[in-house]
Amino acid sequence: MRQAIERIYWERRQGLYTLALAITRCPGRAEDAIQEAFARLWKTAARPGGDLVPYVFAAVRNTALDQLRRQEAAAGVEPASIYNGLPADPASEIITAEEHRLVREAVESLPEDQREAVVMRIYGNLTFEEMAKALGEPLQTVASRYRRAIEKLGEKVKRVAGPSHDQ
Amino acid sequence: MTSDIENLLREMPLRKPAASLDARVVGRRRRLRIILWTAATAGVAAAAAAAIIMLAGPGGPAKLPVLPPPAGVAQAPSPAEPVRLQRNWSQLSYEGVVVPDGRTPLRQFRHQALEHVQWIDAARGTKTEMTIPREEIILIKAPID
Repeated sequence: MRQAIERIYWERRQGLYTLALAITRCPGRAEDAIQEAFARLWKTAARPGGDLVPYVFAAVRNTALDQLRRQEAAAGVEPASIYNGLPADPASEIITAEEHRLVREAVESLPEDQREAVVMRIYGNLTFEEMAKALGEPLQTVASRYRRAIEKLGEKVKRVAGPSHDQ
Repeated sequence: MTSDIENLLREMPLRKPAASLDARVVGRRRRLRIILWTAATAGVAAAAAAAIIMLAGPGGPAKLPVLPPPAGVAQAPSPAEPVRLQRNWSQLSYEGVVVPDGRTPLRQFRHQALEHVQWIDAARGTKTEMTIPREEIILIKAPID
């Protein structure tokens, strides 16, 4: 069982980190949250049967929320983006620096629950069923929240970038 | 538009976690193993010490076996007894992926420890202390992103 959790870490570390960062908005606290979550997971003897992926994401989400509460109690911290400052390939025709900026701003302006849904689905590669388990909410609720977020992102990027993006 | 946005999101360059996160997460699990191993070893050592005392009989406390002193104090005229052996520092760090045979990628961890030993020469009233560094490389076959 512990090996299965360690495998999930290696396979999903980027998604777990992005989720923790989306919640805490602080790289250091995001890493602390992941370390704390796995420290608890290593010590916990009883685990649910079936798919462990939502269980691990839920553990990281909970410790990230704990970190956020501690962070809010502390002095103001400059919020960090889940994205790097530069596109992976600046010459790429698929995504330009301008699109990059638009998408980043649109994602960061989403309500927290919708941003979480986007991060879990897109960067955590979770299915709606896995997201529902991780969040402890009905599948339909989670799926609708994600679709609303995607629609909102589409509208924002389209409105700012103009009709040429709607192809 | 919806799928365009999803594609755009997937193309976005994500901020990466620090390389040290792996050692903090997986290393902690290994450290727990090391602590458990150390505790088990300490238990065996205590049992062995008790057996030596019992074998020595009622004539008084058994003397600890004399270990050879370190090279730097080998010229001391009287034997010195090690009175203390303590591991006082240990760490595990992740060093990335290596491919020693050119085919199988392995994750490399470095385990380092410092052990502190004291020798006391009661006849001369001297004390010699030595810190011994130990290092081991641990290679783990693991799926690579």
